[in-house]
Amino acid sequence: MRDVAIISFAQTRHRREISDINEVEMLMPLMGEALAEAGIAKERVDFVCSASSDYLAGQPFSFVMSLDAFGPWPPISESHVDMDGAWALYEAWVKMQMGKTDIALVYAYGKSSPGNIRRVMSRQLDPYSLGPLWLDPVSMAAMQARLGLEAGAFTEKQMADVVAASRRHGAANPFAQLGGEFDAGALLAEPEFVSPLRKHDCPPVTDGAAVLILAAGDVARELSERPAWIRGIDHRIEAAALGVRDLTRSVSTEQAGARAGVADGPVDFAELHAPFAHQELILRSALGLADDVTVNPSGGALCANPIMTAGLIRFGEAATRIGRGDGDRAVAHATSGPCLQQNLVCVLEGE
Amino acid sequence: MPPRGSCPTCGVATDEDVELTDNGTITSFCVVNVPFMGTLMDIPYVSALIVLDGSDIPIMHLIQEVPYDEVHPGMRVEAVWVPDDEIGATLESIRYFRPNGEPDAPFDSYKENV
Amino acid sequence: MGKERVAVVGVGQTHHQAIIDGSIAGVVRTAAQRALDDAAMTWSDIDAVVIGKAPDFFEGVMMPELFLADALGAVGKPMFRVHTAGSVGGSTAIVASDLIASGLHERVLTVAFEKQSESEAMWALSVSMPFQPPMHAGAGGYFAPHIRSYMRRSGAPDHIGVLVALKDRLNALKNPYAHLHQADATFESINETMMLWDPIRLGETCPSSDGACAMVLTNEAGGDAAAAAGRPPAWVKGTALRSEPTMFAGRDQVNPQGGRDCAADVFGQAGITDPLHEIDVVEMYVPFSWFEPMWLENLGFAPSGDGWKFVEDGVTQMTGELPVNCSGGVLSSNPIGASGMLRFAEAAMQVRGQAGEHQIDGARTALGHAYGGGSQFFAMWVVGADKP
Repeated sequence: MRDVAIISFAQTRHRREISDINEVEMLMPLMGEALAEAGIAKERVDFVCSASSDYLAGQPFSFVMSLDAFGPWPPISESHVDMDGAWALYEAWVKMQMGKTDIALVYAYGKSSPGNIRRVMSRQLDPYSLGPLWLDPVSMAAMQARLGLEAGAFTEKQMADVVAASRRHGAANPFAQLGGEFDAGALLAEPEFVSPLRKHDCPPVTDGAAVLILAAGDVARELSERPAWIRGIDHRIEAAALGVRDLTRSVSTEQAGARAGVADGPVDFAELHAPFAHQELILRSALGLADDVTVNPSGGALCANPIMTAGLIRFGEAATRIGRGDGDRAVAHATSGPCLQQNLVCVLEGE
Repeated sequence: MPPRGSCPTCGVATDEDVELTDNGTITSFCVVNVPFMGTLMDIPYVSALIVLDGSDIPIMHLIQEVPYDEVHPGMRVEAVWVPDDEIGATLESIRYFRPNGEPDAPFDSYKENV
Repeated sequence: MGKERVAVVGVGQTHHQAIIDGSIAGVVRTAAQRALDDAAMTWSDIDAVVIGKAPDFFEGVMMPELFLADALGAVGKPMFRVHTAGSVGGSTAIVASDLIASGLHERVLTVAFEKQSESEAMWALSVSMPFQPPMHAGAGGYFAPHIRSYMRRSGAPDHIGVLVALKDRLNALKNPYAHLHQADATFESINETMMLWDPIRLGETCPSSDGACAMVLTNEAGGDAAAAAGRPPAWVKGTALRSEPTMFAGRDQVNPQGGRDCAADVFGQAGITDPLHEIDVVEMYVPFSWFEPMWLENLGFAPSGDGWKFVEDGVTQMTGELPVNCSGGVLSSNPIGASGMLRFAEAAMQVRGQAGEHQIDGARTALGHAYGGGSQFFAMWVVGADKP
């Protein structure tokens, strides 16, 4: 496998609503920042891959205009996925394995504010049997949490601890939407939102975007003092039907984690894309992370959840911390689909 | 025109507003005969590519107040606006374009946009 | 190109039609099963699945790869969904090809589909952008003025579009999977159809179809094994993608730079310097008949302004020097998300000798072409009967 590293990353200050500028205007400054951090002009980028959701934007072909933020002229080699940006990163990484692509730029964005995100996301379901029930992601996550609590896979106190830790980290992250000091006991005293989930166990509604640059081999060493090398990366998907899966564990994360080689070395910290508090516990277990491994020093998706982007942000946050020496080996993860149906796991290392 | 916050080829923010007139030249057009869900127009109607004087990107808009079979490239047109109190930051502020009575623009003046 | 050679060892597609009476899962599985059967493989042989389709509004399902994971045997495997507008079927095949060329997987199933009957395609193509009035009435309304510009620039006579439509509709009669089978199509019958977006007639326009296309791609070992078993593969000799902005000063929408650059890239990879003579058959994305002469020029087969002469002289007929769209093309079947992959697959079928009645004898090198958006996204591949 060809050595590929993340060498720069830029993200918006994520907010409940970014309504005064459109997606192109959101992305443009980030493109500039990421390119500047990498010290390159856009002409040096060999491949661009983006991620967004037409359904979220409420418009077919919505991603077409966003490419203007990069300025694709002369014409560029470019592709797009209607999935989280972490999969756009994966597509770029695959392209780079073939040898001709040395630098790739990946971007993702999502504006949840214009619509009703819970209703929109219910369109992800089987259109014949589940779609007509308008089952939304919060309700499905709540069922998963209920199953986990009753099976003894985790406790409400553990969920509250996840939220408290996330919010504390979020307070230290200038890009996070939410943050602050919360006592786990006080969190547990809050009323239930969609039982057994409390409001704080759920992700916030967020508008945001992110841009990340990958470089291969010596090009990465030339452009970055401390690239975050992708040592292993894999993704797997599970069955769509909720009743067919064991929702108290994440089998596809276990599979992807094993193939990515998570257990091949010590993990200093992990950025896990867990939109719901109990899911962080499930993922932690699936990846075999010891209790002393810090999860989501950025605050995670519980502090900022721009749809289609939150997974990519985990990669960017992990790479940034490795870049400044906050750790040598980290796990970055992204998820897609109801109740952790599809998962992508990556091991990042500083040299 | 259309006004935008960034240059689509460079990916950098635009910072200078240039005021244009609302007169332009038709570079091409088509006559729409097909009804579809969501259409607001009676068919047939003409939608045309119009390059406004002083700009270099044709915009698409409707042509009215002229029989559809008289529309042709080179035709000089002017905008018909909604009432002043309805004008907003949207192309919908222009209801349509109509001939402005000037003689046709010579092909050379707009051939870059064909 | 990459570390590994890529071979197409299985091709499958549905019988495309206005409404396929079945579920979305059924539609994709039909195509996928046919591709697996053609490859003499089963679901468990596949390492990864790459699916592509156009906007989710066409079916009303967001991110359909999620609910289709089971139907496509993807549970426990990596599954990927590509979306690059109209060119998506092509770019999906390219992503699948990359997974093998990179050495990451050995056998990849790739599927592209659209079930437009679930929604209303023209509406989905005309949803108005914020701040703009809805006026152009679908893709045809967008392209019609540019086609008029081509006619003016090239001086092409009015009937060229009808000639292309007639050719593709008659070719489709030789393709059992095509949606439109108009056995009584004539020049007059097409010429007399109503103008939809003058200068585009109804008879010169693609249908709205339900359909899916699938291919099984393997590495060199898989291709050799297929050849040894009497199932000759199509070898991938080059793949390329290009995109350009929708609107900018000086943009040529009739002969886009992106298309020219993409063609130059893919021909360069395949070692082709004289496309007209070295390519035996072309499957290009022609949803409105006038795109055939336009793309002939854009791809470098015909000099600028002369594409229409190729049409008039019969060069692009099945009996001509450069047969184009022997399958009937997009003009005869257009499940939008699948159409790009159908072009790539039909090109592969030609060099494998499996195109049945619409086979060009002795075809050894073929071009598959797809485009999307406002003529701004391009995906192309060159396949050959010989290993690169």
